[in-house]
Amino acid sequence: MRGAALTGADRLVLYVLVGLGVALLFVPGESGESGEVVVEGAGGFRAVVPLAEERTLEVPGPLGTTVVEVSGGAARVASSPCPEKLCVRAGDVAEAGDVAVCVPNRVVVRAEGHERGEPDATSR
Amino acid sequence: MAVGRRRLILEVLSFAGALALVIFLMYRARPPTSYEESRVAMGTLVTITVYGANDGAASAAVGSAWREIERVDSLLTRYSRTSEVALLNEAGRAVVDSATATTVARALEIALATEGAFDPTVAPLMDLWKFGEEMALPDHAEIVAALGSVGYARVSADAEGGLVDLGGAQLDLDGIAKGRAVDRAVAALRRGGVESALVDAGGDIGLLGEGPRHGRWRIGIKDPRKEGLLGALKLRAGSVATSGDYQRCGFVDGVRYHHILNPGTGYPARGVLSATVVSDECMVADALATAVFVMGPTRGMSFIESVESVEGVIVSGEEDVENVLISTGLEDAFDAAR
Repeated sequence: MRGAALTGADRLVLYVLVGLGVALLFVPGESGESGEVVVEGAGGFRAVVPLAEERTLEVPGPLGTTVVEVSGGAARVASSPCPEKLCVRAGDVAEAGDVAVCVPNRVVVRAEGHERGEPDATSR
Repeated sequence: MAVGRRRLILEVLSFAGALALVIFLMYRARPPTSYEESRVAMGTLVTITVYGANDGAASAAVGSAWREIERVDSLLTRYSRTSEVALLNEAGRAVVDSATATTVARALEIALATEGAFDPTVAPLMDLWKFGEEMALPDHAEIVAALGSVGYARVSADAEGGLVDLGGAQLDLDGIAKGRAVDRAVAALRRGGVESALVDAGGDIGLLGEGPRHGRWRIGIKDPRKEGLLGALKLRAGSVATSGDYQRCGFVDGVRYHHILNPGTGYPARGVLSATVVSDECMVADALATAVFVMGPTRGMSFIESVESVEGVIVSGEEDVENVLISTGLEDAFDAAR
């Protein structure tokens, strides 16, 4: 039994599909898909930790040491020498745009990444 | 044979053309390149994101934007003893920098328009409330006494001459200063030739030019009770600010006390968990977010609907989310989180 010959339209569809496949090979993955947290403190302290890791960071600041925990896919300020503890109360930093800031101790914890559908910024 | 070769060449060319087209379309669909800088200023984390080439001109514009933010911070903060507002509060009457006088004048305009729901003279009340993990309620008699010196009508400001007379009141411009800083930073970026940028001062957001998503911006609104977003706004321009009872708050006997005080009662406003306002100016969005929060859900949404070029989202409730009110102009722009 003989199959029908490919028409011009068939070829076009075939080329587009093959082209799409080849093009995808050159598209880099979204950097935020696995999720990272950036932790910054006094004296140029800066650490970038994948949210998939489990780490405890001791971040220096003018008031003392702020402890940042990374576990369970999120980061959080575990303890801080600041008076109001707003940074501790900020809770989990997990999705791009989430942030916990300790203004008195100059510590910033923020999630990075830019997955499709995630906002450019978050009003809070 | 010649026909076969010609056909092969045509097929190779067709394949190359299709491949080039697909790569071109995928390239266009990708968001433009961007770079961002963050600093702690205005008592929060401020981030400037610029879309486009990171060239010398854009870098200079970002530097200029930071200087504007730092200048607003140094003029308007009440917590530095050397800021102009702190000195004005001490003197009671003074000729101040035009930027300070203009901000005070605009704050008074908004106070008048909102019938005092936003009031820049709540400083004596804010001094009484100490929010945090181990907070204690201020004495009621102290609140009543402090209310005696609260009232925007006491204050006069000449934006052109710079003379500000507090009339015995004390200024607290925290409800408008971040928005003012965002506006000044956006203006500096525009002057510097930047065509597309976002300035985010702790959730007070100013947009410049077209967004990275086919000209639109996607601005999330924090869920006031859960981690993550309540939803997101698709915007082409403007500014966004949110006031929420989850910021600067504490609990006494299981009751939440937060920093958005009703200038009429001296106590935290009730009935709203968060109020988000979209406006052309971030300063206006900032102040109106506070005002709408204080007004409550019904009056707040009526106010939003009554002002041209102002839109908003109000999350009402006492402790849990009861309702989400969306102004008419945002109905198509709001995507609720799943």
